[in-house]
Amino acid sequence: MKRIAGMAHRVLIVDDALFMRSILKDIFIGGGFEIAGEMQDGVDGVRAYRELRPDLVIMDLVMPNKSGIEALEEICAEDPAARVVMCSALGQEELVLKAVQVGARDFIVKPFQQERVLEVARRVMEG
Amino acid sequence: MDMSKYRGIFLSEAKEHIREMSRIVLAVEGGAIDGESINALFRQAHSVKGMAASMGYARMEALAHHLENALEGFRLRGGVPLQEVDRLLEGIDLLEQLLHDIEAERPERDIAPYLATTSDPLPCACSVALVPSISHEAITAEIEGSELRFRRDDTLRTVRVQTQVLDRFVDLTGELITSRYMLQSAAEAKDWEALQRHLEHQGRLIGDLHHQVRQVRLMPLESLTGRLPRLVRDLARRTGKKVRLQIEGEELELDRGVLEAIADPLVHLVRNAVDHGIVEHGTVSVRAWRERDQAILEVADDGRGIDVDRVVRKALEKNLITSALASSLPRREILQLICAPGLSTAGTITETSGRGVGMDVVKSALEGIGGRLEIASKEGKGTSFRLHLPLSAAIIHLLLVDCGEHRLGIPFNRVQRLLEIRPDQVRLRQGKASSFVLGEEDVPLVSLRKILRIGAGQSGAATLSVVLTEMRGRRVGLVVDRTAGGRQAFVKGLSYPLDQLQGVTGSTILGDGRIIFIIDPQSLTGTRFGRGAHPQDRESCPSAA
Repeated sequence: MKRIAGMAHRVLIVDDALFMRSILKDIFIGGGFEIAGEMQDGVDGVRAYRELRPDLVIMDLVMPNKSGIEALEEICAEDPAARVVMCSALGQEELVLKAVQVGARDFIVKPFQQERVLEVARRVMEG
Repeated sequence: MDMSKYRGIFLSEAKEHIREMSRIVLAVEGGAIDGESINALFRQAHSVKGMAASMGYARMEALAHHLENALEGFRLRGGVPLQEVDRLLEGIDLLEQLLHDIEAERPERDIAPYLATTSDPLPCACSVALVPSISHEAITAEIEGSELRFRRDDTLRTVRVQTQVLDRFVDLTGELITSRYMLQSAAEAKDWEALQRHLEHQGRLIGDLHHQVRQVRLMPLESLTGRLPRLVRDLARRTGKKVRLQIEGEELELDRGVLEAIADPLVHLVRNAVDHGIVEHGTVSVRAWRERDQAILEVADDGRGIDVDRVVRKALEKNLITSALASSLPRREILQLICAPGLSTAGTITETSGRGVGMDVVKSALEGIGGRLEIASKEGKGTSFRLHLPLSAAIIHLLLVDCGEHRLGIPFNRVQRLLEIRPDQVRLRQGKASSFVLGEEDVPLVSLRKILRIGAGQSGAATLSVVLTEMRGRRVGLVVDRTAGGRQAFVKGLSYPLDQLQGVTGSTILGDGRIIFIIDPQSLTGTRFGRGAHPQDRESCPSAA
């Protein structure tokens, strides 16, 4: 998925917490990204991915209805080129490892640090 | 990164998560907490942890992490052992208390004692000094004591509004601005027909705006009833009773102001039901429904019921009524006596019902928002308290009445009927009109002039204008000079010293710029049951004859 010159990368944020989505949204907008959409659980996340085809997905690991890992699996099965970055918290190292095995490009750790989030996002977009 | 702008979202979202945790635990209590519930609890704790960490609230993060670990352990064991349920609830309570600390901008309270009493100390993300010297009992006592002190729910102070609603506000404001210019040009052109048309249009716009604002202020009753399962559970445990709580209609939406006003009364009524109503085992039901232009909230129990004779004895002892009155009072009025200040019929003041608000406060809180309390009770069958609530606390329908040179407003929900009484319908006592017959009832007449200490008016009128209403729980005919129509009014509260005026509940501004007081007949006079304070004795009217 190539970026058209001059157009911002479009990010889909999937996290059940409005709080986290708000922070991520501000970080990405501040970093020159465009928000393609925000979803609250894995089920909607997968559906939104199909509809919106964002350049990047930021996906929480722990969510109701469908976990981040399950959603990631479905997205990667449909679009192996999907760029998905997982959000994790301390103590979820095992899950993160599993996510990377399933197809996540990278992960960011809560609490989010602006620089780190943008650095990971840019690296993933370039890769 | 400046996190202060996320504080509001953090507070409201963390609160929702913590409440949901309580709800999940209480919902499965009795049965085992199964895998699905543990997963849901884990997700909530996890969310709280992530948010607290982001905001830099170390203790909340540590506690949420601790709970998360405990839940992870339970997940592996396939369930939560019954003896651990209390510990889990204590932890959830502590989370809530931390949130209150944060909300009040206090330092987060110490959580080390809680962490120390957990049998399975798991690694924690934050280093928190553990103080194992405090006994389990001491902490339990502290937590139990604090949780029964009902905390006013601060969720009522913030609302989430869908952007479409805000868009509608913007649209309406735009239309109102347009309408203003149309009115202006019609006035300049002295085109009265157009003026009338635009005024009508503006009336519709304002009506629409009012409707929209009301929608935003609505919140489900669930925001109050959500905490009742926990309250009842704890009370039942403390009193050793088996109590089933039934809640119906909690999806009913009410104005935020109304919810705020009934938050404490609701808890008090439920507490009373468990404490004094239920004998050994029984059901407390909380039901809500809409009835015409009001909402009804009922708190009922199937317990011992109110001992009416005992109420009368107590009221006589305290000189609240005379023995003559005691024998003539109908049952529903005797029951209202339990709302008189200082009259508690509880045999013993228990730890739970002995504090907090009493029935008098319940009643006055209700009346403050233009609601009323209806009490029904049957000995051995149970008691029910019905709270009649207005749908909106800010905008009400007023009846305007004139009294001397004063124009006053009476909320329409206080008015049962408007009557014109002919002289031959009035019964005289010592040459003055004291009551009139309505159907089979002898209704006392009360003069608004007398209450307001305005001298007697000219008695040339052929009939008396009477507003049939209730004063201190008793049906009376309030005599006014004349009624002057009704209108929707935006009620503004009064500040000191005007808020000290008895029976005056607020004010509003009329179209001509006049400020009028809104009076509540229920509380217009002093204690009705005081000696010699019976309307017939005190408020007799000048004869219309």
